[in-house]
Amino acid sequence: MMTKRQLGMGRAGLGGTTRGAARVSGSGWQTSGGCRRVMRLETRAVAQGPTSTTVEVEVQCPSEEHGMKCSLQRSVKFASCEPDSYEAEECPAPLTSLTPEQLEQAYERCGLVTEYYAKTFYLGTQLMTPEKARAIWAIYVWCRRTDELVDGPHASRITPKALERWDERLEAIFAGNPYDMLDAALADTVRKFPVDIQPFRDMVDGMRMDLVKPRYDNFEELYEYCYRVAGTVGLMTTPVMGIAKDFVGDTEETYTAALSLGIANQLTNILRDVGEDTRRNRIYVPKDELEMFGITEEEVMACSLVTEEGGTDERWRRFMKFQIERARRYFKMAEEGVMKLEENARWPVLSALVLYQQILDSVESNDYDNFTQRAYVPKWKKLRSLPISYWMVVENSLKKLV
Amino acid sequence: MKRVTTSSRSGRSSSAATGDASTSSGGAAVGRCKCRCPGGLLLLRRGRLLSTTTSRRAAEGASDRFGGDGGERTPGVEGSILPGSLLDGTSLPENFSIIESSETMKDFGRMELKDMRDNIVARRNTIFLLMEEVRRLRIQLRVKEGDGDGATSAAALSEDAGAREREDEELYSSAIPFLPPVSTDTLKYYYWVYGLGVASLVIFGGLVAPAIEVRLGIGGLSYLELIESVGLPRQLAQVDPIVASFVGGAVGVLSALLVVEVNNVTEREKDKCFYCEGSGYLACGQCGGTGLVDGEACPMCGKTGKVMCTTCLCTGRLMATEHDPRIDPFV
Repeated sequence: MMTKRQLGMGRAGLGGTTRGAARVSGSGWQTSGGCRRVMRLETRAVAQGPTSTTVEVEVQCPSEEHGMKCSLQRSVKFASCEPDSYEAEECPAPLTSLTPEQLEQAYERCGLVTEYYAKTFYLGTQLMTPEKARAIWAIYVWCRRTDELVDGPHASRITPKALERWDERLEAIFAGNPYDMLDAALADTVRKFPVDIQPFRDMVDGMRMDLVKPRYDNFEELYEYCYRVAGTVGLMTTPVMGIAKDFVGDTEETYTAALSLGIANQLTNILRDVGEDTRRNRIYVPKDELEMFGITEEEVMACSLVTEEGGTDERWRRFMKFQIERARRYFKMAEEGVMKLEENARWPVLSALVLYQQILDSVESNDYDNFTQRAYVPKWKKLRSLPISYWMVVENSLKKLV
Repeated sequence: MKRVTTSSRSGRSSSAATGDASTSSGGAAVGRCKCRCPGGLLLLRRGRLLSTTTSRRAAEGASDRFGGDGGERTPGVEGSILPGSLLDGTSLPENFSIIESSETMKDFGRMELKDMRDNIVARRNTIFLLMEEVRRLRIQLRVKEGDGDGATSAAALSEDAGAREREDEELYSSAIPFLPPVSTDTLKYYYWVYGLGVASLVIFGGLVAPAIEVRLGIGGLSYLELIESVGLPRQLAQVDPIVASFVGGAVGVLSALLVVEVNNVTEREKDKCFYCEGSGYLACGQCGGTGLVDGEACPMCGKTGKVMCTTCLCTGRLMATEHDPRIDPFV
């Protein structure tokens, strides 16, 4: 029996036909059989008549499965290592090419870069222990540099060869031969925490996708992209946050929740930046879903769905409601998993979750105008997320006691 | 930005430097660059590259003067044998890309010292020629676009230049924090505000205040009474008015100068690439910036201790723009 919340996403207008069989599914996601990660989502499509059908869309992502498998294996191996015994592959020795002072300097630079480019995120890292914060900075800087290759001011000069070079540098980092000091900080991090290389490789592949793929036909393709550019971040940071040697809990569920948070964040980004992306000739929202709501690609590119006189087009409103509902669903899944993290990691992660979800609220309050208005969360609301998330952590711990 | 107007020469571009070249046979170009630059020889060797820089010459069939497809090696002249990849028409090693790796250090490292110098000069020359061509092409483009709107080419050019001179409303960001960008028009307004402000302050302080007996303090306390009530030494109330005004003015001026300078530094800081802090390079990850690993030259950076910053591509700037000749010299 489905709750109103699961069913109720508002009515979705439909220009074309209903899709597939009408089946009602239960909760958001479940693992089934051999395929570890199958997302079940509902698309609520209303045909011309008054009856409504709820349809299931299964999304499979083999690269995500692979990424998760590698990360899990690595954390298991790391946990099984004897302290101070270093076996080449599983438990690599600490980085010796740099002196501790040089390494410290490298981490400091990572911190400065993080603070400069992502102030709110940096504030979040201040809620963690210093070792975790440094590790997160190193990962952030690598991800940001990778992103700037394809999205930064020199993006037009990036060729596939340049990305190959970047790949080689990544392999060198994990082999203990970092090219520059920022790489060295990451090389040190991956030796101290059980971070696997596969998510990093997937992220570079995701950047490649961005170079060649300006449109997404269906949600499955979009999910693949979201996994590569955001889900991977979850896989990279979870080992830092909570998979310590003495951690007792279900590792896989923690990773799954981290993936959900990444996907939710990326979907939020996409929904916030629809207008901005059209200027770079990119539409991330799936084409088939646009069609389902009777919207054409040309209308999106022309930014004609939001006008000064008419406000937001009703079709766009319904479309956005559906998209936002799905993003919120992923946030919910992530929230459930945050409570499985290590104690001192729950608050920062939950703050990030609460804060970022407010962007969706902001899009809604702009009447779904993501073409002319930029949805942003004002400072006071950001600060407000901190006590809210703190309370959520406390509440959850109390529930467990009772 | 320099606004350069050229006299309308016919479409010959960069003919001066490339000059006349005579070749003995396809492949081995043994001509002399008219400008007698030492790089001239090398320029000529780079077959296809040269022929693209002289569009007119290409039309005249000049490309075959420079020999084949440029992919052939041309050893022999002055005994300098450069790796074939450096001499071919694309003028870049095969595996060139803008992201460095430990291999790229060695690519050019194999050359002899003299060859390196010659190559640098030759490449500089080529860059200059290409930059000049871009500039002229841009002018032609503007002219053509002007044509499309119905104006004649000459008129469009001069109109363009004149319009830009008139359009002196270029906004500069303010040196003072919190103020909006300024232009020469805004500046005139500022002069007025300054003049009025100073005049009214002087009149107020010198005439109005004593006349209406403006007193500090609540309830019309005189300065001496105020000082005593607060408990400070009496000397404060006996300060000579000229000294007082001098001190006040000096403090005001110093504060203003400091504020402006701090703002200036903040603005400049924003221009810096944050990854390398404006230096354009990052410390090498293998040797930590020392250049040596186990007493020998570091394999990654080759004794330099530094490697390229991939964000700013060694420009040190956040957004490498027209200030970097590699990117966009003339607009």
